[in-house]
Amino acid sequence: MTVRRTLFGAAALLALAPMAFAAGERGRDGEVRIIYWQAPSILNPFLSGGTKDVEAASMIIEPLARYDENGNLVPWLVEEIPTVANGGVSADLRQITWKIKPGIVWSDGTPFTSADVKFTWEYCSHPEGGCAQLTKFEGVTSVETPDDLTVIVNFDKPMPNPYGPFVGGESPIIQKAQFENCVGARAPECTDANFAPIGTGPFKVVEFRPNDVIRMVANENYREEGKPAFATVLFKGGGDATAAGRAVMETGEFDYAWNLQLAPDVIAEMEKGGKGKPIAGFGPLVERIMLNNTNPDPSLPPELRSVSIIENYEQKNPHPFLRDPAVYKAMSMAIDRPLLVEIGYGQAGKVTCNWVPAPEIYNSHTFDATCGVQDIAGANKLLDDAGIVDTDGDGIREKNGVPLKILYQTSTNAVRQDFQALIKQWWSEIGIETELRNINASVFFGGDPGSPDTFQKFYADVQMYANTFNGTDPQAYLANGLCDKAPRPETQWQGENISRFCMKEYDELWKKLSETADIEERAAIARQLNDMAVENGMMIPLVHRGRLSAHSNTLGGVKLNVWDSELWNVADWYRIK
Amino acid sequence: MLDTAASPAPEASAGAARPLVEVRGLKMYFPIHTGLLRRHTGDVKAVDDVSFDILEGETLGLVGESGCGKSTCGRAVLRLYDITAGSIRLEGREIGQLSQEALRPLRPRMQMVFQDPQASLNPRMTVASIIGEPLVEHTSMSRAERLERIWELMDAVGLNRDFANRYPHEFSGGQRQRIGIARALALNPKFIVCDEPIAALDVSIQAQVVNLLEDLQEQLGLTYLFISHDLSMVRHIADRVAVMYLGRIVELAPRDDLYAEPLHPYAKALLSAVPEPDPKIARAARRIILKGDVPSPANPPKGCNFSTRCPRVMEICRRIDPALTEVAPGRQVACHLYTDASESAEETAPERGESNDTRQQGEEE
Amino acid sequence: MLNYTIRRLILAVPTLLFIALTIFLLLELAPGDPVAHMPLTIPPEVRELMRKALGLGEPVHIRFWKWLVQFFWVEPQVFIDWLTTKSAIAGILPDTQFYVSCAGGDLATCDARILSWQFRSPVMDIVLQRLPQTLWVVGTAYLVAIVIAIPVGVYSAYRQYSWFDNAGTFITMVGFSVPPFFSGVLVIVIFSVQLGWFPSIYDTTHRVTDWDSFVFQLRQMVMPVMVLALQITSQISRFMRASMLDNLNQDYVRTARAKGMTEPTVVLVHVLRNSMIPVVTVIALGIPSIFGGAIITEQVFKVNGIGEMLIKAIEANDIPTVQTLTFIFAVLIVVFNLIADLLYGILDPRIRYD
Repeated sequence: MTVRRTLFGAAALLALAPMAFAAGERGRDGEVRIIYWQAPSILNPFLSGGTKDVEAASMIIEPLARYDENGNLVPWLVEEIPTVANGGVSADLRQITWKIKPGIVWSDGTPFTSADVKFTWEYCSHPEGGCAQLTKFEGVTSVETPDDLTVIVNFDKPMPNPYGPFVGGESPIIQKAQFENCVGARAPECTDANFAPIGTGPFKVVEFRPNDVIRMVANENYREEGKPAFATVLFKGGGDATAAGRAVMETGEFDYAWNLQLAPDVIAEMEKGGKGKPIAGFGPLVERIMLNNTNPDPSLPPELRSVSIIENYEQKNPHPFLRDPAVYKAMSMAIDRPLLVEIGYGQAGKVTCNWVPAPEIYNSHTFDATCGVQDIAGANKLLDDAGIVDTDGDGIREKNGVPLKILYQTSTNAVRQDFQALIKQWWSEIGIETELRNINASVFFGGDPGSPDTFQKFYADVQMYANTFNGTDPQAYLANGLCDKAPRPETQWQGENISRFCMKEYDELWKKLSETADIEERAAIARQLNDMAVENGMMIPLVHRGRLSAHSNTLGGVKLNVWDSELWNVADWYRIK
Repeated sequence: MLDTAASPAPEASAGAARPLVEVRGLKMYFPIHTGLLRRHTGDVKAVDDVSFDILEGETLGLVGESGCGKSTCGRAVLRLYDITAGSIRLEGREIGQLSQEALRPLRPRMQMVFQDPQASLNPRMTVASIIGEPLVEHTSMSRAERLERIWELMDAVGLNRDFANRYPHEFSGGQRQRIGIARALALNPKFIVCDEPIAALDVSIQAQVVNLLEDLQEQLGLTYLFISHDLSMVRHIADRVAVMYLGRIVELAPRDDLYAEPLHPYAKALLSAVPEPDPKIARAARRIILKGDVPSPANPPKGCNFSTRCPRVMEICRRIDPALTEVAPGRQVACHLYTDASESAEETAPERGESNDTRQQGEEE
Repeated sequence: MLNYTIRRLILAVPTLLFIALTIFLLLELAPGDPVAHMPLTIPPEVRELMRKALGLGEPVHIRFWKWLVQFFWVEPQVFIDWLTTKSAIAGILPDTQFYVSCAGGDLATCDARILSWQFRSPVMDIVLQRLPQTLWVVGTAYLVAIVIAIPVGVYSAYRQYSWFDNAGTFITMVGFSVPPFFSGVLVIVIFSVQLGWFPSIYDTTHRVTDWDSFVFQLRQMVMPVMVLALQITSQISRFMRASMLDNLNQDYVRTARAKGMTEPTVVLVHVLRNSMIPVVTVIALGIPSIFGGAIITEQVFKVNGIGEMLIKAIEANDIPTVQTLTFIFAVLIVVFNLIADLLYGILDPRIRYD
């Protein structure tokens, strides 16, 4: 399988760019220059969790398997992807067996063995280590290493998706010999290891300056002949997205710029520089308005304000009007999503009314017909028909005497404030008054239980932010709609069910998903869960956001991957001559 | 005049006839710039058409109230300013229009002692370097010779040689002024402008410094232009005295004549203010108090500059500016009272005084 | 002077302790969370563990005490070890090993250094790594600015209201008021994008080994130095001009002219030397800002020096880094204030401290 895939890939590349393999020698193309406007702080993804750090490290350390640009799992350091069909996954879904490719060596020349894999689990699961990727190892009870090339992972319960541990850029394998003395509380003391991990990847670190620059050279022990094409890497960090885009597309100083969160017109202007071009990829990231299902009235005491009190799947502290389908459906209908995409994200955005818009098999098409159309009249009619009308002549509708006045909060961010202003206008046209508020991102997303301004506390009627999930399986993400995941005082306001959404049918259907292994069946259930959440007022999805990066015209082999590290295939990059 | 003067300098008597400094029609105007573009809109006429001679070895006192232009006049004579017009001759040589660069070799011949001894000494230089600097510039003395000369000068002005390496701020006011004098003497000048050299000093020190200046004049044959508003000190040191008002010399006379009988109404008023040590005379003396303020030198009155405050103002005074003319041997005055129709002027003046508003009147008490 | 210096240094100790406490409490009270910037996909339980691993579980006063110990006890040990074993003067000093690393050692007896929450590495190591480019760029800008500002200030004052002075006034006004995030981007657009003369991104790993690499270093320094120097020049030249004007009208200048000194001597020796007194003080007081870096300019040109380190640490709520950097600035400011006062005493003989 591997051989076939490699051959096929080579053939495809050969057809696309015949020059690429003119000289097949490792390091033939000199230096590649990459700029990340958020600079990597550390090259140990287990201690940081920041995307910038994970992606920079992905050039050096690798997982057993990873996702390709289409979201398909591909074997990386192993022979094949274990499945129930090929016997790699046990029938009870509690065990997965990985077969490591023979002959892989670390960049220091020592052999890569199952002991390193097992150590990686031990390293991350140490309670004092503060490992950022702990969720990747959720449910793992033990890792067995019957021989040097076999890794068996045991789970405490059936795992329909057992591809968490050692899969994807967030869960790479680190070398046991290097990190042996850095477990637990000692982890931060191992600066040398954290700054220059030894890996199996195409490059190895020569110099690491945190938050500034990384210099790498090709790994002479890399397993694939003739790769990487580049001998050295200059990985620069810092500045802002504008400067990074300029350096690739206008001045041509750099070959690759990551995640250009810029206004569409700015990108278009830069593209005129003629030195490079933007590329977009779409993961499951969705900008959405979360609807508070509980009552955020400031006059309520702290044990009640925005607190979910569930009795028998029923919300005992409901929001005065946002639970009414007419209200949130009208709010959704009043929004002109194509305009939001155009002003906010350009080619890095798509209209969506789904919570899980990707991968494609999970993307529901239930709302496709109406999603891209703004319908103010329809929204007004919907509210009128529901009896939610303006009774006191102030231009604001009332439901049971409660005026439809909404506090709409989000993090401080130019695009989000534009969205707020537009949506406030549209909602005013359907008789809903909106008060806007924006909060510094580090506070809003900070999760400080003492702060009233976090998105978990949700001391507002609606709030806007974007969220996504890693990998391609939405099961854990869909768990964010479960009743018991609501943040509340007992959990120190931790929890992923920000809307405090609660529905018996939803909880039951999700349980079914967690027990289903067949991929088609899983997809159908996931789409159903998505529709259920949107239909029942968990959120108003706005924009399916993509990742926009840019590469120079002379850089070949780039495949923007949103399911894994963007630099996942850096070994295949080459210089177009 | 010098015969009558009490100058003890023998040289001065000997060379009585030859003027060391001749000033003719000296004008020093400072331009006024106003507005956004700083256009030249007028002039402050600090010194306006002044002429006088200073004889070799004599001391010419220059008196007047604050702001009358006496200090400017002194500086202009030394060409510390680029003068607006006029001629200045030093030892017969015209220096009025020379460039500053061309003047430099002549600087050793003429020096100045400043009013504020603190401000006039560079705070970052030691006494030795302050005194010695002109020697470096203008002579080819060796270091040792220079030091010798510095000590000599310090001795001459009564400063302890040990203080040579101290900074000006370490001295008292009187000592500082001695440093200033020593500095001025360093290059053997002929002519020194003393610009209120004692005004900033304690009364007890003033006499010491004045006596020092007199002694040095005697020893070195110096010629002084002594600028002061202290009339009794001028009476003590000067041979002749010029009285300035609003940029002009209104009276120039031998000291004793002037103090005995001032002619110009302004000089009269000014001298009436001199404290009289004898209480009998003092009681009998009548002080003339001038009313009103000095007009702005940027906008002097038409006619006689003093016409706005003169107790004996006449109609002609407001039209015609009186020239400085000799009314008696050695006595020059710029007043219509003493020139053409002096008799009639004296008669008409009181009438006019009564008929005029008080602003222009003088009052006698 | 020595007594005065010692007295001032002793007085500086409580001042600095108070500053340290104030910074610490301010950071403590400010909202923010070091794990806030991590992806939302990291669940709260994991975040809590990460916070604990950063040491956030302990009470405030314990953490402040730990920081004090680390800054005043552990870090000096590391410095002494470095001095005696690796620095240029290592040869003449006996090797020392005061610092006991925790890597592999016993956690109870080893010395914990101040660790950044972003990098998980000692803050001081990163400071030392960042210092060269900051000193190169900001320091050069400072020198260039001084070299330009003093003659400009002197001539502007000497020819007050001349066209040169007016032009200088205009340019300094512009230099003062145009922020570097504007002027920086402007020069990038002109010289990098349009003309392609200079790189827009500073290469901090560049080493000067020969003539060509030196030229490259100059090329990449030109724009940030230009932008920074414009600001500093504006400031210093204004000071210089004002100070010259104060002195030009003094009697001692007239004295010097009356002495028959040449005009260059009068202006450059008498007036300039006296006018330099306040200017030198201003320059000395500005030196801590060189170490502090230029936050915005470093960001614009990706110089990634100390200023960039500070702002990124603030954004990431990396409290140990912010605390350490701001405290180092505080120390530098206190020290250079003292140096400025002492310089004043040296330059101006009228001032004596004993």
